Amino acid sequence: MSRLESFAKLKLVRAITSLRVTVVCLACLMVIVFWGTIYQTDYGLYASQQRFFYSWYFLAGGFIPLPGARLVMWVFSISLLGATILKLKYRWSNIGILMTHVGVLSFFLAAFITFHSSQHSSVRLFEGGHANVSSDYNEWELSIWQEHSLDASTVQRDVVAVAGLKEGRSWRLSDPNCTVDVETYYDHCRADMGPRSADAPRNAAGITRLTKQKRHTSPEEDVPGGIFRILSPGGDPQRVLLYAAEQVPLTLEIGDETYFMALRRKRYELPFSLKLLDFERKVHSGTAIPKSFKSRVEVRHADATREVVIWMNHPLRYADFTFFQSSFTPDEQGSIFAVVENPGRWLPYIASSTTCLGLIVHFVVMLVQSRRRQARMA
Amino acid sequence: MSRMGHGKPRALRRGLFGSFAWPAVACCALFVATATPGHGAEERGLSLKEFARITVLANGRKMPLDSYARINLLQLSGRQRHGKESALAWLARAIFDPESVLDDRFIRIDNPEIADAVGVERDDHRRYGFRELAQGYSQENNLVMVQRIAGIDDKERTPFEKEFFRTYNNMVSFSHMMSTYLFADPHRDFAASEETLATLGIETGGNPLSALQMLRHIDAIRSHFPADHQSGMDNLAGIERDVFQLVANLYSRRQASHGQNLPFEVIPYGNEEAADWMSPWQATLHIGGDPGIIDELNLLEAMRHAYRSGRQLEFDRAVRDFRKRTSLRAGPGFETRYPSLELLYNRANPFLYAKFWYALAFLVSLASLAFWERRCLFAATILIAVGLAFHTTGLLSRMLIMGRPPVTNLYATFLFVSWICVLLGVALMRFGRRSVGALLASLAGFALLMLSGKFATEGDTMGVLVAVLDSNFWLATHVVTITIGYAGCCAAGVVGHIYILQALFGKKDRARLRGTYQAMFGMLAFGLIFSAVGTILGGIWADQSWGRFWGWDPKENGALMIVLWCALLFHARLSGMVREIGLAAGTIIGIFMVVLAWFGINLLGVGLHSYGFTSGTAVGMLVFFVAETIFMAITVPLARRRMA
Repeated sequence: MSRLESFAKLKLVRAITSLRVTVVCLACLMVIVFWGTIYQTDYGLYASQQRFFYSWYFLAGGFIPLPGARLVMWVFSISLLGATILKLKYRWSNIGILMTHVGVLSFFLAAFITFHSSQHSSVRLFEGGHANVSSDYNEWELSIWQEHSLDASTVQRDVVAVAGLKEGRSWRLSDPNCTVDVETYYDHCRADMGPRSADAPRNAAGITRLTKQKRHTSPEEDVPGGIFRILSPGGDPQRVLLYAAEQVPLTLEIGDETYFMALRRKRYELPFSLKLLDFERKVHSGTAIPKSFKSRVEVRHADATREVVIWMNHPLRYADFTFFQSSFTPDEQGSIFAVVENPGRWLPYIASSTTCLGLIVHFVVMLVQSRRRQARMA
Repeated sequence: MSRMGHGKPRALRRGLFGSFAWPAVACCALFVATATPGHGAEERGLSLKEFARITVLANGRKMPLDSYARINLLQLSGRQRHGKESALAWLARAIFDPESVLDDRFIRIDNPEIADAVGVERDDHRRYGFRELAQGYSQENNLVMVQRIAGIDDKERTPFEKEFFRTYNNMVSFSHMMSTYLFADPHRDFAASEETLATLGIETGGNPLSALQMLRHIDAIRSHFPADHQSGMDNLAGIERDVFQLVANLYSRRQASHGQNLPFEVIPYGNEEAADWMSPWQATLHIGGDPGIIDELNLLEAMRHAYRSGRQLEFDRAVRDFRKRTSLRAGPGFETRYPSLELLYNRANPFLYAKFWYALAFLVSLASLAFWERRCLFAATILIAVGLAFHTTGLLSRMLIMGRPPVTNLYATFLFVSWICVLLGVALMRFGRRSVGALLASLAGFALLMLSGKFATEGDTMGVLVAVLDSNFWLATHVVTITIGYAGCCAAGVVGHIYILQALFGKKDRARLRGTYQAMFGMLAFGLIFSAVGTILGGIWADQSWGRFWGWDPKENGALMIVLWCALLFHARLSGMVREIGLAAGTIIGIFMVVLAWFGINLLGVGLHSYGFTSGTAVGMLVFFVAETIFMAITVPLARRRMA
């Protein structure tokens, strides 16, 4: 008996790789998927993903812990891996089954890599405008910079940005030399202007008060705001109020230098710059049914440029980045692209083809076997 | 069941596909025969054969007027005929002679409370006349109600409010349709003194002018237009004042985009790239200066004149001239793809016939269980073949007309899923499960085509697609595969029913039961494969267009649940957790999963895939679930005891 065989005979291994575990995992997944789908009606996709699909467990009725999709998928993939190696019979008539199981395993691998390393963001461009950064959907950052340019879409040099904003957090920065404390921070709030009292925090637009609001079901619609305390050595502490919807950054003296500050969506640098040449939206004549959205863009990398057309179902791919036509501004002068960076983006394709091929091969094998059996019986 | 025949009729021994050939041919002949133009002479003694072929733009696509009439009548009354009258004849009356349709009862209102609210008597047929409803709706309290409902979001409206508003909108759009000839009717805004008319050389018989008459005499009007018109009306007198007033009134209507919503967009304009279609009224206001357009408007007016006086020759000549002129002026890009085929499709109504033959086949298959098994099954085979021929012809026609794969909307999924189910049934018959195959093909074909009718009343079943769906490649791969998967799971469920009933009531014939079990197993495997491949292809499409393979969107989840359930059944059977009867019950639950994924998800109204829904479906689904659950709760334990 080989070492592998004796390992397979271990009680624990046999339990984990048993078909019962598969059935239980499939059943659990069904319940989670069903629940998570119904949940979306009231709480939206984002909340449902966080609660059911990206979590290890969730609480039903507030106190009964049930496994989340993440936990079930881990158990499932371990069981599946074990069964594929130890239990499946390696013979020709089983090739379809084997391929299918390997395919499903690679789906789990793809899900793992995508979940942990892909980055979703968006770029909003007006005709003639260009950008070399994309912004996050949900995360916000506090950024401080010196050289103010009006073009908000391009990376500015000398930027310090802190993300993960939360009440009570504090950062020690070296340039500018100061400490930033978060005094108050709301994920979604309303801003009010009013008479300024002496101890009110400074604000560029004259906002004096932030009121916490209920968060949206899709968090990308939230407008956060907060009050921050900036303390530079030798200077007085300065309280500033920043609201995400403000158009103009706040000007601030730290030490002897002038800085600009704003609360904005977290930014990611792109390996090239993108310029929108033209956006076109077509409707089916005589109706308001959209027929196509199309953007002509110029991609500039170093000094080389090329023109690309991005439209529905036809994204621009560049290294690990993919740009999709996602939406447009209400005046139809601007285009909004979804940007996805996913180093494992080819994995689902491998998994897909393996699984599909495996299923089809097995079906054919089954059909042939059943015909042979029938012929024998006759 | 053994396929070995002892003394079978010859046709049976030739194999099923031999016997499939001749009914198919006969059926195509029948299809053409029922669809021969001229079938059903129109009322008023006027044939509308030529009229049916006029091209019109509606819902974003070009279609023959016959389809346009059907879609409009379907929207208003839920039917494609108005009593004995064809939709086209009804449309002709509505636009040429509106007075004659005012009291016809064709506006459908499902909720009788609406009738009470607008003060008309409840009608058992749920159809009401325009005039009575219009009187009811124009009462002040009802107008206030309409305004109030308009301010509420559609999701927040009560069923009463929805129906009240829907009816109101139907009334408005029908009143627009009746105003199609606004351009040719005398209008008090275009009144002028007799002296002026005489000078301009216009004969109106004492009536005001119509917009079309003004266009016809535009040169005369232009020549009398005051040179000094900058100083306004007050300094003008006599003819100049009249002419100035006429032009100013016409111009102000154009500025106010008056009548922009008027339907009947039959006048093509622009070029192929930026094609635009106008209603006669819009054309009068905006492009009436073009002599070609005036000719076309004159022909439309001639059509009405000939229709009203019942002159067939004149009517046909005007229609033909109109079609010729518009297509010559506009060019080939404005033609519909297969106008004759679409007319044929409309008239022949292939799915109605398919339904009929399937229903007959089902009855005969049921009879085969009781007596004359071979003869009945032979007859059922032929009936199914005839139904399938109609079904296939219908599907192919739709594909040709739209230039698309078979499935483009919810209605089309029913046509296609039922077609695949029938094919699966036929395949089972071919592989020796004749009884089960015949039952599956006829029942699934009939039931699903019946259901499809419920989803056709929303209007054009061949409408245009929104941008994200506009990809023949993905429609042909992902959508077709996933619907084949639905069909496989549905077929497995139907065979599952048969298996349980066989186990419960059938003779104790192990071999036969085994055969049904294998058929069920095969269908389920077929369903699993296509659902899985379809779901995966869907993931790839999503990755291509939204940048993520999987996003836990409701429709994705629905498809995933089918795959998970099928996989669960196979693994549970393999591990011995369930036996044959358990698997059969599992396939029935599989139908639940399909129903949820197929149209249950749309009930949620969230997600990227959701597309419109009616609440009646929710009730239907619930009834189905409860009925099936009761069926299983009773039959499964009994069948298990009998099997043991």
